[in-house]
Amino acid sequence: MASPDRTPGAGPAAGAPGSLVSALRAIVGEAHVLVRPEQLLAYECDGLTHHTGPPSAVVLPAEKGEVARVVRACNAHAVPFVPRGAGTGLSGGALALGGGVVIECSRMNKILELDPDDGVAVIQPGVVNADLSKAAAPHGLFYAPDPSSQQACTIGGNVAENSGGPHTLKYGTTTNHVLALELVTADGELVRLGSRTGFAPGYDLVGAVVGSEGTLGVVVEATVRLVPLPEAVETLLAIFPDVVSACRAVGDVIRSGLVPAALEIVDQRTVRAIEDSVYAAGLPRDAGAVLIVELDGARVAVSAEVERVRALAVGAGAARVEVARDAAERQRFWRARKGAFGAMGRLAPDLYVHDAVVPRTKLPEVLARVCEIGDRHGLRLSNVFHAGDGNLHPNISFDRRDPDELRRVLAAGEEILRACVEAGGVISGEHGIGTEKQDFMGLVFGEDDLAAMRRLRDAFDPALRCNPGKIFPTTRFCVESDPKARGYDRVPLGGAPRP
Amino acid sequence: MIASADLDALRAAAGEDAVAVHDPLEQGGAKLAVTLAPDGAAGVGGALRTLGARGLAALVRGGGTKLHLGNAPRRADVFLSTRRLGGVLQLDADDGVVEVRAGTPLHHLRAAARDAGWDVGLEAAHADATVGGVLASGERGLRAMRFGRPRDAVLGLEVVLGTGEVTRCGGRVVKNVTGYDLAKLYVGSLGTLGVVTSAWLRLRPLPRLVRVLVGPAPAEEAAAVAAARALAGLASARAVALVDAGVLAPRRADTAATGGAPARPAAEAGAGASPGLVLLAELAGDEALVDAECARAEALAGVVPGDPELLARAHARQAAPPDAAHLRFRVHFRPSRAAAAVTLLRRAGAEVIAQPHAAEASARFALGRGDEPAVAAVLRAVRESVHAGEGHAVLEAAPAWVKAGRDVFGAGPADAGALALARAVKARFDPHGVLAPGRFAGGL
Repeated sequence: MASPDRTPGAGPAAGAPGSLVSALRAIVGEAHVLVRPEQLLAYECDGLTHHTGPPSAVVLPAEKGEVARVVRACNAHAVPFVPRGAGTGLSGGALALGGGVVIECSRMNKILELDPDDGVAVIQPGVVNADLSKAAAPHGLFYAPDPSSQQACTIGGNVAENSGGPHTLKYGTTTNHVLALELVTADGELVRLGSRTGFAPGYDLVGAVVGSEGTLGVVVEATVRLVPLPEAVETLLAIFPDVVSACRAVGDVIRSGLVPAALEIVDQRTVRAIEDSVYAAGLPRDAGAVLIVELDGARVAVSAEVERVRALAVGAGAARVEVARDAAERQRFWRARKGAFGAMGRLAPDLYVHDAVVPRTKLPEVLARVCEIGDRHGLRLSNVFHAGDGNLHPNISFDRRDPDELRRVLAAGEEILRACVEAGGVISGEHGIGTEKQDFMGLVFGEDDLAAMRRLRDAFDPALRCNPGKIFPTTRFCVESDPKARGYDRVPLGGAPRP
Repeated sequence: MIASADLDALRAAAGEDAVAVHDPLEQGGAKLAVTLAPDGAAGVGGALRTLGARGLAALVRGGGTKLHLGNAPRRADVFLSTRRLGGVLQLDADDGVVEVRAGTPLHHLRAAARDAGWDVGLEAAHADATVGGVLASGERGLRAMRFGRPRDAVLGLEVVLGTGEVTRCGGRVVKNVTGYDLAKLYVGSLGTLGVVTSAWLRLRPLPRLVRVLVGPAPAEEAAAVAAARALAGLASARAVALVDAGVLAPRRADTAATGGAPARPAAEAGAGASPGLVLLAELAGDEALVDAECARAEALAGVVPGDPELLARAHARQAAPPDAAHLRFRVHFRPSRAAAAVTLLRRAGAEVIAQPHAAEASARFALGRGDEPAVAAVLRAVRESVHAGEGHAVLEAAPAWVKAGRDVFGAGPADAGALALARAVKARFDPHGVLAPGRFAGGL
């Protein structure tokens, strides 16, 4: 399918130099180096389908030593490289801009060690998120971060993006669960960071690498914390007349000192889309908003908390509160949340899953603005979100082949980010910056703040070979629009274009 | 020595009233007779730029309770104090977040949070400790199993880099992947990359009920560790420790009384105590849960409600400042090696405060001074033992001459690659070596 190339800096794939391709084949074997255009097509985008740019080659190493050699080969040819997991990312972070080499980690998918006594697992980066929890379950443990794509996404990708999920309110995001990493540095050296004990001498480089979007090296091994499965889980579904009262319930729950495992809101537009689809969960079509609350922990505590939440929801205006009686009903409740993407996705060929965060107290006013922005641009926009974290996910169904609609989608996206920042928020809660939002970094950070981030980048990758062209604003942007409007009027560090 | 021209330049950069000259204070082998106390981040930036231009170095000082941590800096000319950078700026009780300046004593912040119905997930052994000091040192107390690391409480920071640039990272929201997570670098860096001037922190719910439980531990270390791990499995457990009985004795001049050896009075925690180790636990949460689990804890490990002050006493002791009679260490080990670590330390005659469970496997221990070769042998044995399990032992409190010439952080061979990257980080965040050069791990 022809698509408009919206990726900053992306040009036609240059094609990897023949000598590099030979070197890569010698390292991983001929079958694990992809160079034909039809093979590369699958790698021209990630989950953010309107940013595209094909790599010059894709290499699939089998183990960390191969990754190190691949990186050294790329360095010898001055070709950039881009680590990639399952390609489920939503911010364009796995694109090889300008024809770099993609290092795909899917063959490195072994759980190397699962130690229930220490409560840790040592894994290769290509292990699928859900598979780790499955492997840990017989020991009464699980891996807590659970992004919506957990059936497909890999933990290497989760580390790059510091992925969250619906249960981060209680359990934290990926960064709270990674104890140690093995990294192939930009020089192609294998380096161990952190320790499975949770303390290592020196700066917290594990903390710096988690969420760095694959720009500081290639994660080739991770030691992660596993946590005990809760004794009891209860799921409530509350129907509200409008989203404002649902948000009020969320605020009341947080203010009360309860820490549910999840606090999720589905808005009216999404409810209708779900009930019109195969994902129908039996929600009332006139529901103004649906709140899903999951509580877990010790049984004696959870049963008391269910009653507290029920009372708070009713007090905030819930018309009806149901408690799942069994696992089947819990799944039905969650279908109302998790089916949202599928239901919205069937409305048009493309779905733009936006991501921003606001203070939880600002949710009602920001949601109203988000809907107004979508309406004004004539878009099919709905909201499902991690209300307990203030993490909004406005979803826009659209057709990228329609240039006018795509333009309106991007214009609305920018206005939404501005609205969130004005409310005290930030432009990404869990999807990352990638190529999607790099030109909006100036909404949140000043030039000195970005320069500090560049210092870290420079310490790890002074030649800018590792996933270049991500996170940092492009200069292209300054030329094309009013720089002062976005705080780009200051001269970039060093005066030269930097990724 | 600071020249008068240096003082003039510092006054011009940081503010006339930000420069105080006083009697020399001995710190890490250096004598510091000047304290800079700017009243804002801009003043801190001006001070750091001026120091850098003049080849001088600063030791950042909050409450002054952790200046002994780390290596002896290669150079330190002035204290850079956060004394005038205090105060709770914004506490959003509905959102459970707070913005606080670095020089605020942690107990002031805790009181402000409590008034608003919240708790702070940071701990400090000393009343004078500041928020900035706890973040810079990464201090973990006995509630680490629940509170996590100090970095986990941080949402955003304002930091003045060694270059003098005033920067921000993170934000005020509870979930954020907007750009690099630089806060992780600064927290625990002992003020060697930048000076934290203010922070946005996530608050924690205030538990409705808190109970401190205490009881004698089984005499055999493996059984004692197993009992501690069983207690740590309780849903409401907020702290679980195995503590040398002497630690829990009411404060007295124990070091003087025992002629320099670690004090070992009998446990006050109840009759039939094994000689030495006491189990200490704190349960926190809703009343029904805590009540139910108090009973469960007694059945599991024989612990019963005790003096709520015991926890604070143990924490204060584990983070005690240097004294003439002790060397104090912190050791981190694999949870599965906790019994071996505790046994090793006890056999060596160390006074031990251990958190031997999966969520936080660490211990503080003190060795009596006097026989230096014996102390060195113990440390060697401990490091050999814990390095094999990716653990580390850090020398925290010791006289300057003991620290001189050594890296107290106990890096093992596996840490070499990380320290090389750390060196590159230090070179970029503090290129002029203004911030206590040499104080941090690897001589950074």
